[in-house]
Amino acid sequence: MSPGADVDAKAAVLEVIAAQAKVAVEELRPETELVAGLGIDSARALQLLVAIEDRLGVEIDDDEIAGLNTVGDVLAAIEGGRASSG
Amino acid sequence: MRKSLYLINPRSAHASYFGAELHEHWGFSPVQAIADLATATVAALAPASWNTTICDEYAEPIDLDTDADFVGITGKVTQASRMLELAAEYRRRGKTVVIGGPFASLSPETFRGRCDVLVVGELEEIANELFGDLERGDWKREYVGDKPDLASSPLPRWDLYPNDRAVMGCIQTSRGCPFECEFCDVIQYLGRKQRHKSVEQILTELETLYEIGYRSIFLADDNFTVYRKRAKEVLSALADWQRRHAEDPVSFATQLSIDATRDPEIMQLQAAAGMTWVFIGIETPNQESLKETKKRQNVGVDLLREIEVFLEHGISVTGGMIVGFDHDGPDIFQRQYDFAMASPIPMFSLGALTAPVATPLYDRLGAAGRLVEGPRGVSNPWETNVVPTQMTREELTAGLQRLCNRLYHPAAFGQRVVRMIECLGPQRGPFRLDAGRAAKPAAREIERETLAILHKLIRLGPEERRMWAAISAAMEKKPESQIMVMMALYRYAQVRCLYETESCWEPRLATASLAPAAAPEPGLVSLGGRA
Repeated sequence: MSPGADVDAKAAVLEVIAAQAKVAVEELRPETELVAGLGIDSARALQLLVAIEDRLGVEIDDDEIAGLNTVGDVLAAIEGGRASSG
Repeated sequence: MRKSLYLINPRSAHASYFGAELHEHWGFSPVQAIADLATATVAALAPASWNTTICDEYAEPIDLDTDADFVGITGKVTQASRMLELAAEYRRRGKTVVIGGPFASLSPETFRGRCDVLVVGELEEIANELFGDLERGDWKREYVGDKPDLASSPLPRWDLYPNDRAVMGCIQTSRGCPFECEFCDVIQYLGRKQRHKSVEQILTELETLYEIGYRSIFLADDNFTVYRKRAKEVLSALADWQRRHAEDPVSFATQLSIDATRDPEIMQLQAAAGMTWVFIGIETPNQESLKETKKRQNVGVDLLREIEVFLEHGISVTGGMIVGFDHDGPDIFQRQYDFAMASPIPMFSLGALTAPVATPLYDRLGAAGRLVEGPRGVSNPWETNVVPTQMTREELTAGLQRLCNRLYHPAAFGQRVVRMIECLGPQRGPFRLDAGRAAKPAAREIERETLAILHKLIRLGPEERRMWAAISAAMEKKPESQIMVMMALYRYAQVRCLYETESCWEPRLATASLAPAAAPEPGLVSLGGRA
């Protein structure tokens, strides 16, 4: 995967999270908490996961889902998924 | 020397609609769906000086090498085989085995001679005698309990229970039901005169479960609203309690009958108390079958309209559905399907009519020579000990399999969830999303697992993806439906687990005719051989 593709993927993930949370991309930080910070509870989290997977054509490992607490966790999971699938 | 007691809630060999076997099925550790009240209550009745431990086999492995003086085993009909197996093994190891609980009370002859001490009936009033005798080493072979005033029922020992592996907490506010459905075994051992815990007892139990971490609690009553004045008193107290815990409220579920809708106040109070789903024995749209089985509360009622009344109050409904009554002809499968698909009920517990021991149905069919000998207890929803009148047992089983697969095809299930979302009225209770309350992180590991399981579910295939897309779009228009949608999806994942593990799942039957067929279609997995 090229460095450019990484940047694109990260930007796409942030766009999806921002849309789901109804906030601006600029407000998102790696440490921003999905639930307490963005109000993404379980139903919204499911929507978020599917939206990211559809957008990037990746599958997030189920083992990682329980540990997704922050924006940074989601980005790391996507990187891991792209690395393992590509 | 200090006596010790090892209390066991054994695991049934078969999954059920309301179990939580889905966790293990999809790669996580075993989980109990509803925390077991029986063992926690018996533990509270045991002498405080004893060393009492609880094992819920749904959540953790049994310790066959326990050094306890006494092994206590409880269970319902679905657990009977495992109860007997464990009793035999512990006795072989020299342990003194005490058996009690619902099935021991309904069918004591099943356990006589296969345990050291048999407890028939409810324990509260005979606990002192039983444990006193055990302490002295001078016990009787059998103790018979009556129907105690529930004021004598103690605060369950949840401190001994594996709460981290149970999805829902459990409170029983009453025992018994005045109705007399012919197939119901609960009234045979708990009686038709309903007995109640006090509001103070209920709130104490609630506070205990809340402190442990439960945010979802099942009110394990046989019919929660049947005594309306008393139900209103409890619901008002729960609503007050929720107002004091508005930042992190509890979701309640219970069992009740459809006639609760006749009382607008009780519906409003349920909403205010945070009742998010209720189980109702719908059973069948066939009026003659409802009369036959003495389900009088459902007769002459516009069932679909009454169900919508619950939804309008923000309460989702799960329905019991039974086929195989004497008045059910071969068209019953299509009738049940049409009824279900016209309803806003995502989840039906669908099964064949069975005749549990000690029920009027068992006696009637036994006298008519219409009971089939089979394995002890019921193993899965389509196995029955009944010989139907208007179809063969093979036709009943084959029709059920078609109905199961059509009802739970992802497209059909998704359609019912969307209908539920559309019918849901505004939340009038503690789960309003406009309350400015911050979302709470899932405090319990089990809730985080649930998200992973649902993610697996909607990735099973294109049909499941489309199902989720339709549900998600509908949910977007009504965000308050989220809690009900997630519960429905969780139960759906359990249905898929149940059907797959019991060899019922056959997606190619999703488009099959529901008309009776003499033989299973070639090449398909069939339940016919089990009948």
